[in-house]
Amino acid sequence: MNNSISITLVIWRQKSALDKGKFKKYELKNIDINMSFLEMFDVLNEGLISKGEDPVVFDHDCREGICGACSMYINGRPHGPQKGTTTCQLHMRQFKDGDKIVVEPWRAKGFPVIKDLMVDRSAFDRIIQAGGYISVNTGNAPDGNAIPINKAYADEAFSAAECIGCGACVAACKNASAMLFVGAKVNQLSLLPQGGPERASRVQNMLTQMEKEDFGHCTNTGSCEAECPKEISVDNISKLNKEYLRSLIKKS
Amino acid sequence: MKYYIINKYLAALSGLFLILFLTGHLAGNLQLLIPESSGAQQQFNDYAAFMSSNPVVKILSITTYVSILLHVVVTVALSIDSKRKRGVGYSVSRSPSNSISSRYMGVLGTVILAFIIIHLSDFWYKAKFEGETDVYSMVVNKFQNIEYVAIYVVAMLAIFFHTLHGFSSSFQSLGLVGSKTRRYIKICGMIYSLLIPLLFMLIPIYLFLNLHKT
Repeated sequence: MNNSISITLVIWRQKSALDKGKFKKYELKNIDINMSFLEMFDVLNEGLISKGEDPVVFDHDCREGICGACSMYINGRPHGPQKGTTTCQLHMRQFKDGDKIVVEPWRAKGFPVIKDLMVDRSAFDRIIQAGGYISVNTGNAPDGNAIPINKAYADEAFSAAECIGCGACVAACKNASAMLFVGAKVNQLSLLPQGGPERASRVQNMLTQMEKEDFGHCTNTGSCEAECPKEISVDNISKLNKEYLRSLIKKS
Repeated sequence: MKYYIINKYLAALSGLFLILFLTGHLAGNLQLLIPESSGAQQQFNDYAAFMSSNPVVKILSITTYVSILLHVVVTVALSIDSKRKRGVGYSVSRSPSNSISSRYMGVLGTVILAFIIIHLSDFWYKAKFEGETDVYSMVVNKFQNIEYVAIYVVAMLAIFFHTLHGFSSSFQSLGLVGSKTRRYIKICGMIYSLLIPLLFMLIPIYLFLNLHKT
């Protein structure tokens, strides 16, 4: 069985935030199908470096699907064609010999391109800083079992907490909306007693920051849920809408 | 554009009111399916007179106009706002979505708005400002014209696609959907968006084919 394929890559190259940028074509031969998508990029970059060309800049860190650093828009879909997968966990066996693969950076006003495929996602950090925390007294660590939590809420909070903040929801959304991200981050705290004290201010502050960061509104299209590598549900957006209404009525 | 969610609440509430309005409007219009020999003309004209004089109907109709206006203003503002959120566009884009309609709500809404203007100027304006009292004959005569029937069929198709997304989306925007209820709201939306435009569509076709005379 033949374990290697040849592909044509069409990659967005942009020297800096101010550069206009353009697509560039690269032919790659003998790519092992057991390589991850990022390993294939490593091969490409090794080749570019040995030829004295500028390697393609892209974000990556853990390479095991849990950090949320990798962020490529592959053939029209964030993190590529496989459901519930980050780019680093996407393997070349998902592609066929002779395939043309178009790779673009996340496109959103809130995520400006830094270079090539790397975008600035610090907007998400500022949204978290606006309210994605709980206040805890200093001193000994509290007994984890001292606060009773309903199993259903605990499970739901855990599902929301699976969000790795990669930004695929924004990249997929036709309005570049960050509602799925904000929904997950608000709900993982607001569903639990520890998140109680800041409940009202959290949702208001995080939503205000989201709008400041130039993300769009939610038209309930559901592309975010379809493309999320952690399969965060759009129920989180519905809950976020309810949470905001609650914050207008109840102050804590 | 500040406070997206408040704008979404307004779009959802006005949309849901218009969904209720359509149901009531359809109930009244179905009287046009009564055969002429059973006194349809008298009954429909009495109904039209009642609708233009009853104070409760008056309040409802004002709420309807306000809802239409609010719905248009809020959704146009939101769409204009979201147009500039992408910046540079993608060269290839093929993310799947829950509803295809959601991508074309603006276009569908514009078709519906154009239809509402045609519809009001042809019936409501004539009855209200030109003193037409035989509303029944006015409607029946209008639908002898095939182009006019076609406009109605197209408009009802637009309402079908618009409510197909709008119905469940409104509940989502108001935070009334959970993992357990999502399926049922979607099914209700599908039944509504199929049934209401289909029955509305039936009326002009029925009148065009002169089935009311049989």
